[in-house]
Amino acid sequence: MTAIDWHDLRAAAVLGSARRPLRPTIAAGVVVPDGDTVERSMLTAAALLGVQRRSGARAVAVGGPSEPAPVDDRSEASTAATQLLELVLAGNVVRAADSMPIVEHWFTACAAAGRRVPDRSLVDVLQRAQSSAALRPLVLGVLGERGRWLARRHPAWREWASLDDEIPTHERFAAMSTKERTAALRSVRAVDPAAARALVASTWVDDRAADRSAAIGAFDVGLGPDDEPFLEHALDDGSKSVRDAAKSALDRLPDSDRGRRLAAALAPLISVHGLPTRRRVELASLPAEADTAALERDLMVGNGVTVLRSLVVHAPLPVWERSTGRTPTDLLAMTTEPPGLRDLWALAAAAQQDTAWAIAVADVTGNTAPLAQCVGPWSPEDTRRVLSIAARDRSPESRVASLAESLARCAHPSVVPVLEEWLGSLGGSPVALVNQLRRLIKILSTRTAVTEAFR
Amino acid sequence: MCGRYRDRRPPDDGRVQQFAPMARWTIDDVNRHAPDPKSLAAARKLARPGPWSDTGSTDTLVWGKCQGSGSTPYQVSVDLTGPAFKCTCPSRKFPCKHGLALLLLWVDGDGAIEDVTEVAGFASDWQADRVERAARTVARADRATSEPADPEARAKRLAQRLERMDAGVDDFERWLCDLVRDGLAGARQRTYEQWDATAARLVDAQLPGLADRVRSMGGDVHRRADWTDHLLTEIGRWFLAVSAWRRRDELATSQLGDLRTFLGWSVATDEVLAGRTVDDTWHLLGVHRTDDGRLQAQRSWIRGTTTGETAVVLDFAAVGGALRTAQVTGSMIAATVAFHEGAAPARATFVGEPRVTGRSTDLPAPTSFVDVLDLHAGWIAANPLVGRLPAVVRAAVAVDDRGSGLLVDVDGAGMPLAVGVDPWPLLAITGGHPTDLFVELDQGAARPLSVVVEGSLVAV
Repeated sequence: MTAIDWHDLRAAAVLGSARRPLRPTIAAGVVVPDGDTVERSMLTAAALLGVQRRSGARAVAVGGPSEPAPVDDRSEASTAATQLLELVLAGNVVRAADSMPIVEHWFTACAAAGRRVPDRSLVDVLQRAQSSAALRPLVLGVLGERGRWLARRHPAWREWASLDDEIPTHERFAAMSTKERTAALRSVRAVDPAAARALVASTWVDDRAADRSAAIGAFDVGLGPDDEPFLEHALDDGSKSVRDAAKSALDRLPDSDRGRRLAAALAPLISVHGLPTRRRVELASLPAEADTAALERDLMVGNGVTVLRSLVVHAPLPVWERSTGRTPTDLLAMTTEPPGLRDLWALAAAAQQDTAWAIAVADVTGNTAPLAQCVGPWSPEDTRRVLSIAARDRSPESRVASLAESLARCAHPSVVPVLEEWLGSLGGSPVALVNQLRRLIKILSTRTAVTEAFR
Repeated sequence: MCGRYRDRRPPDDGRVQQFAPMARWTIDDVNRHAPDPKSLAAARKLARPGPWSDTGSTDTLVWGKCQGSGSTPYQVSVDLTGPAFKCTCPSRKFPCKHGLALLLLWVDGDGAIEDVTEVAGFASDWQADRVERAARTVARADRATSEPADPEARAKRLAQRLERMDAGVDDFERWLCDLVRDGLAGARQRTYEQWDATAARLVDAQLPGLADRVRSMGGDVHRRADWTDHLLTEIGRWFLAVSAWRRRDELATSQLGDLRTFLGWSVATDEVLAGRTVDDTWHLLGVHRTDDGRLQAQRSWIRGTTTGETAVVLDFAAVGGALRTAQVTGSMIAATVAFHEGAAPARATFVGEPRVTGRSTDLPAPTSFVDVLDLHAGWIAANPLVGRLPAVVRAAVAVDDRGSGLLVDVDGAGMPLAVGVDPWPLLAITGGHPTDLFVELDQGAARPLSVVVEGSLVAV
């Protein structure tokens, strides 16, 4: 009598009866018929023991369930808003490449309405944020308790969403890698810029230059006047990359002390000359007695010529209007002395993300590069001006194409009728322009639909 | 670039036309977009609120969800500026009937897209249509039973079939013995073509159920970490079927039914309808649907509210065709159900057209894994050939450190989620709280088909 168990049988079956014949007589307490071939006996035993194994299956003890998600006090976004989000994320409204401005708008509107991403959409939203770092601060603001709880459990999502509390302790922050710190700073800045600055300050003196400039880079999120003292301080940093990052951030704070210092240095150099029909705008050289050392610190440049160029690019653009009493468009239409002034204004409009100047540059010179840098939102009038500039271009389709991203991001949704009228006037060609306009109409009207869904 | 284009002006106002797509469409506009008359006819049938949910529109977009034959409704949207159509259905027609139907509904639905409360009129049409179809089905069944085919020809066909099956079973037994002689380790060296060749011989021998199992084993031996246990269990089960077939004259009717199910010898509809029938209101617990590119297969698990009996309804259709059981998970269905021969939980077929009387928001009698497995042990004892088994469990969804999903019941007993089940959407909607789930258990893993969250029963 050979009573066998599953392991005996498996060991023999893996090798095969030719090499390890096994003649079971009892399997699972049942007598295996005698007088059969070895193979049939083994198959019979497999049938008996297999049924025994399956019917005797037990669930494995894994201990108590892990901590469930805490209760959310914010309620989910409305059904209508959720449907729009699902459609946009699925690429059903606009091409996936075009969905970014709508998705960003959705998260912003959701946060403003005090709502959160509904449970059923969390996976889609977290996946989207996984592939788009720019979305993460916005997403973190609307995940709610359930979403944060979910993200902390996921091997990939937890990297950027794993903050145990919304604001890490200084000790924890100090122990983070550069990547983790940047993620933490961006998400904290989205809700509390002051707390984020405190975190940066807590490790500043011990940080390597790469960490310091990455930290300043995160000031992009929620940049405001309160950031100025810290950025001002960073202008004196020993590392050029840190100074550059601080300068770039301060360029977008025209009302800062640095902005006022630069404006004060530039204003006396500006003058307008000539007859009313042939005006000329002139920029004088820096006077010999100018405090170039202070300017060089603010601008981080070396010799005299470069200082002057750099001053035009980084001094707040409104100083030109104040000093001359003329609009940006007027100034751009004049001849300039030195001749390259227009190009510098274009660079300034881009660096300072100044919408009025970006529009004027495009209007007068046809250079739309500064417009492409705008973060918006544009007013209805500004949007209409941008559209009319594009419309009268020699090649409106390539103009609209080059502005496609900034239009989608900044354009005011109220211009949809203007776009429709334009589209109607085209009669179907050129096809590229027709498609661009349709695409823009779709993006803007979906943005309106999102706004209304959160009202 | 300095001001060269300054004198150019926007196009003359005289050429400005009204932009057509923004105006409300007409039926003719929709008709023009149909790829062929058949699609349009199909769309007209769908252009009523019944199958639609979550509908809405903006100036440029119309969307909605259309309940097709599967558990998940098709997501349909139409961009009016193109127009461009998007639909999650597998149809190769473009636009498909769902997109056209949505537009028809929007154009001519008496405001149905904006306001879904005014559906009563349409819903009753829908109902009347279904009742009519039910009447046709019953009439067909009556004809089938009252006019049996020539008995002599029938007997001859049966004899031929049995002969082929006998030969196929003999051939398959030799194949099993070879496998055991050469060793399971050798089975892993076989190519897919070799497994498929065996499966093809089984199909020729009219044993398609066995053929499917052999074919999927070709992949399992590579995919599964526990492939030796799995293969040994399976060949034991196959050999059990071989032995049972040899002794089929000694089997009880119910055992023979289970064997036929396992081998894939289907029972004629009229035979099933003539068997045991039960009148009840059935709770649709969960639906699983697969689509291999040619054939869609759907299993719907139902439980009688009076009898407590659980059964599975199988439906098959060509891809793009309509499956007969198109109910939404949680539906309460008043119907007469005919049971196939076999041990519980048996296969069942609706007699006539099932009628939806309401929707349930929960699952009946949730238990722990200990209780579920005890119940299943009894079912396996009654039918050792049985595969996946249904269960309603109360458990929390969890993920382990490697991101694999599992269910953990109130006793702390865990059951992994089946291969291919994404744990994250489940985790998102349940939040890791103990939840009632309807699952299929197979080979020590669970496949959730529906779950109760926030007072409603949701298909997974």
